[in-house]
Amino acid sequence: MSNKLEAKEISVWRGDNLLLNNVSFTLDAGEVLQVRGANGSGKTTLLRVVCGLGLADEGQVYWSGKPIEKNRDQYYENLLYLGHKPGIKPALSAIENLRIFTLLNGRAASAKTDADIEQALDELSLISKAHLPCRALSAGQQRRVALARLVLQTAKLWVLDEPLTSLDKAGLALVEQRMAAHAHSGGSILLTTHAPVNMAGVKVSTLELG
Amino acid sequence: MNLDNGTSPVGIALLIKCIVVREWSIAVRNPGQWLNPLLFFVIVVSLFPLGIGPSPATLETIAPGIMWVSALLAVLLSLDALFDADYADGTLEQMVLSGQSMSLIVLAKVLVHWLLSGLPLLVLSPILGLLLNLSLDTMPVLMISLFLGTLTMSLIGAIGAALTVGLNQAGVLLSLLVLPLTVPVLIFGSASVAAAASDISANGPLLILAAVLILALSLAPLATALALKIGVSGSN
Repeated sequence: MSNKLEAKEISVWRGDNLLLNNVSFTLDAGEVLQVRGANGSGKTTLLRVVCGLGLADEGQVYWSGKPIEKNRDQYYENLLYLGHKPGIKPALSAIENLRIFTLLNGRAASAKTDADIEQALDELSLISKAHLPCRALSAGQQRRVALARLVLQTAKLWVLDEPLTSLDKAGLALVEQRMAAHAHSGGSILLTTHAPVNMAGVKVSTLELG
Repeated sequence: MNLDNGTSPVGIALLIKCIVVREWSIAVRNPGQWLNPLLFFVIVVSLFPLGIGPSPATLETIAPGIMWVSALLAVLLSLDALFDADYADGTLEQMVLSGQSMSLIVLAKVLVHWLLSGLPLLVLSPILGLLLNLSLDTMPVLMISLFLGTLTMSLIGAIGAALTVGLNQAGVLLSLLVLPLTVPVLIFGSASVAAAASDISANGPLLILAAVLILALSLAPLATALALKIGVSGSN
């Protein structure tokens, strides 16, 4: 039962509109699930419910067989959520921005240093911009700063809302490669994206909404 | 519901230190955010002698009230920005999802807020006090009462800021929520300065202010953390 994410019969109402109707899925260790659907079909809402950020009117999300609200510590220790709003402060540099994430989600045993952060930024070809305030970076570069968390953090479950927006081809390939490596090492990924995802040797299941 | 998500995996001191450093770096690079309330305080206090007339006796009577009302409004002015930026750029979501104690994060943020809004008021208050003809003997009481009072107002204000997070144009609502709660602080704060100005012991009101501060210090971060969690899950 370990490291398995399960959503059972999630329903969410938005006013009189039934946005999510009885959505269920399971995501085992090493699996990738792509949520698809038109704009406004509830992809982001579903991801927020899965993270415990949004409330479902009906249904329940389980991690390792336990409801997530009864198992918050363990769940959040294993969760990396990257939403539309990436939590990047324009006034801070990439390194300063990432420092807080490694600490917030870090565990004492796997403490990350500035050298680790620099290495992650290097991997995303941002090392020359590491000390610039993020407001001086382009949208794609800011996205890369946020995505550096995929390299830095050790969470088992990645929940990624449109991770590939504003990335160039090289960035796209880099993220896909990262995601494949994560899946190979037994991590699981729940993501939304409109583009098809190519990950070498990883089976991507899809969930259609709306 | 579990307010504090259990034990924090990274040391508490390290967490608080990191958040204080981060908030400080952000604030230093956005000076308008904390300079505006400070300027507001200076302007309001210095306008009173012009409006009421420079008679020393009148000024001395109304000085404690003026200092305190202006300080209260200045702190209120600075509260809007406490969580709004974090909400808008998604930092707040990440903090909720981190599994760290939200109350501790809130406490660290409020501490920085006070360092940038309350402390400068405190430092400027003796100069503005002189402008209002307060005697030098009352300055220690003025500063102690403002220390206790502004910290309490930052803590109480954080609850209001958390409750209105994500609402547009929440300024008036925030004032309506927070002002009634800060009235006792205003009453005992200006009473302590008035007492000191008429050579009566100010210990009574100061001790009550200290008691209110301790109450706010212990309860406000819990309430703020809970309000932020609700605010974050209500969005989108």
